[in-house]
Amino acid sequence: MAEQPSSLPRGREHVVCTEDEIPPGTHKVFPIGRHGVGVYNVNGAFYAIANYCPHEGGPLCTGRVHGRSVVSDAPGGASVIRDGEFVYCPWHQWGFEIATGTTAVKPEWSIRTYPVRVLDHKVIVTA
Amino acid sequence: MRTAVIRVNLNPAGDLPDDQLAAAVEDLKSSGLEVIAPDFGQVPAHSREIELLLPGEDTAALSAWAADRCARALGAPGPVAGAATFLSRGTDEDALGVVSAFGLTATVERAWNNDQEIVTITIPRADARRVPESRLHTALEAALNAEVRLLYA
Amino acid sequence: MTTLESRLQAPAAKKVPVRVVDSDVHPVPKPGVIAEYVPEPIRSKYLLSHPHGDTINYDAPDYAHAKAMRVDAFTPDGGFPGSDPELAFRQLIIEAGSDIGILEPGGRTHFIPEVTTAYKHAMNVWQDKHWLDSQANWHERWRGSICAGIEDPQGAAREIEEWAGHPYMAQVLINAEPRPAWGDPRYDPVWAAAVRHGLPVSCHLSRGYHEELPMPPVGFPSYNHDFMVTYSLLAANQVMSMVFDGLFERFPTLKIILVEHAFSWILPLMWRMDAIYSARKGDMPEIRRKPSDYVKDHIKFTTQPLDYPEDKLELTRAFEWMEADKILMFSSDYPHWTFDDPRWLVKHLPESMRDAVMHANGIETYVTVPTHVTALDGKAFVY
Repeated sequence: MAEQPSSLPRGREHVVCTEDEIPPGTHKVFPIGRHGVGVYNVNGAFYAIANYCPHEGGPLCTGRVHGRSVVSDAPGGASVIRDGEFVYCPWHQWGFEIATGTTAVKPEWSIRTYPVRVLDHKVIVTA
Repeated sequence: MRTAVIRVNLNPAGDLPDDQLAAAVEDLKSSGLEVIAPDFGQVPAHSREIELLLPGEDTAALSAWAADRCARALGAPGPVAGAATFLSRGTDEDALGVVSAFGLTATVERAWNNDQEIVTITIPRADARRVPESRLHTALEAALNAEVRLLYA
Repeated sequence: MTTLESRLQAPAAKKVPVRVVDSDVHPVPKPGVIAEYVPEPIRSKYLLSHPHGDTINYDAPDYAHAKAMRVDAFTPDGGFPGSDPELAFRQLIIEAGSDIGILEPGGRTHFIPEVTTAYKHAMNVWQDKHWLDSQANWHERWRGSICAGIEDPQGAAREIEEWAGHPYMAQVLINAEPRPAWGDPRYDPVWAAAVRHGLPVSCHLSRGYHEELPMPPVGFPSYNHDFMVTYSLLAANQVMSMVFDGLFERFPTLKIILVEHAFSWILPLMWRMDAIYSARKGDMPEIRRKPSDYVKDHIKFTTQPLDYPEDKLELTRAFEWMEADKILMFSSDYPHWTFDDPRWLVKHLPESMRDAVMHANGIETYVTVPTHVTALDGKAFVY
């Protein structure tokens, strides 16, 4: 791929990589916007989210991806559901749904998400 | 127009079979609604929550509509709406929505410095002292993924 | 080219004013390093004889993976956050923008005071050789702490004498859990050694072991966060002792720093102490000043963790009432998960207080912290 400029121009579709460069359960960060954009492959579906946490500005996309805990009958009284669908900021562990960039526990926040589609095995982000 | 994310627990009592829930989700999707739904087999019975992405700002009205629509899809009463959040695509409306969540009003202006966008949010000077500037700033930069400058005037 | 190589090749750089003094940075020894600096027989008998399990009773989010740290602060080869001076420099000084980082090493204690002193000595040797040496501290932004075991006053005083005058040791660092409280005269050799060299004495919050765990008055708490209360209570008790046991009359130049004990509790405590003093000063003639004056002249608190209510005006007013510009110093707590970024923190402070809290109080309180430092390329601007 050609070297990316410091930030991809706005209002356009950008081919960021090929589909197989982001296998399921992985992500890559691209230089879009002020803080970059993380493109995630969640069980075959692609999502794109700004690499910035609304809490104190931490680098969201360097955080761990895992599920969400809910009360259940499992030993210990809790289970993890929707594994792979949430990203947790590496600084203070605020967790956000990758698909929507939001969290039910703090509705005022909304991390910018970007439309992503795959065409001819190319991953395209609209910035 | 902002897009709200309305969470609905389809079956708080946890007494409906998985396939009935899956059929309800199919019904919602095939009617043109944008739905985020997990694999219910992996989720405890009382936590079977889906999300509807709906255009609008009035979360109370949207939540009521969503709960009702889910009940119709299920063919059974019981769905309860939960927390409502908003998507951000980085538009002016999204920025103003973030500002309003802090109990403030503002105006939005955009400028470009080469390929870097700068968004200036101007808040009435009378509100300056009570604005939690750091928190507003980080919330806005997350919603816009652009440089945000706060002004008081 | 490494940062060190590029720096050696650069011409002499200009000086810029220090804008941010960060009062709480946690370096961590790499595995096996501290053992080298603990003498025998203590090393084999106490340090190495007990394989170190995970003694922390602390349920930070995602603890099994994050270990209560910033996840992005683990080194690329899996080293613990705070174990690599270069990574810490890049993340804290360059990317977050702190100008000076005051190192507050943790490290273990032991119920035998002399063993604690041996451990503290090893921590000082380690800082000197691995964080404050000309290689790790090429940028001259780190300042270390002379770790001292308060429960062994003679040993602590010896340690202070040994390291006083070190070009990069900014303060003495002690623990708060040993009994009795600091106002007891048995600790006088420690304060005497500190003031002899103009060194402030700092205490970072800590858990002791066994009976020294800061226990709430109502017994074992239900949740870890209950300890947030007892840390502040422990500090409040130490403040009461320092004031009413006359510590600042015996040592009029002594400066004390309470790190990560929160601070919003000091305002009602000052009200209460002043009321007690006003009613009872006839009974304590050796206490010659109002307690709140002692606090404002002798004791500093750090900003992290910042308690902030939803309404910013409440916080602003609280800062104004407690004269926060006299008693607060900025701290980040890098690399813990409770890290406060200086650019985020500064905007919570009333504008008129920013210089005092972000750097002026630190420059005045610590030893060896300069007013200007060599400029660094690419360093983040804080305010």
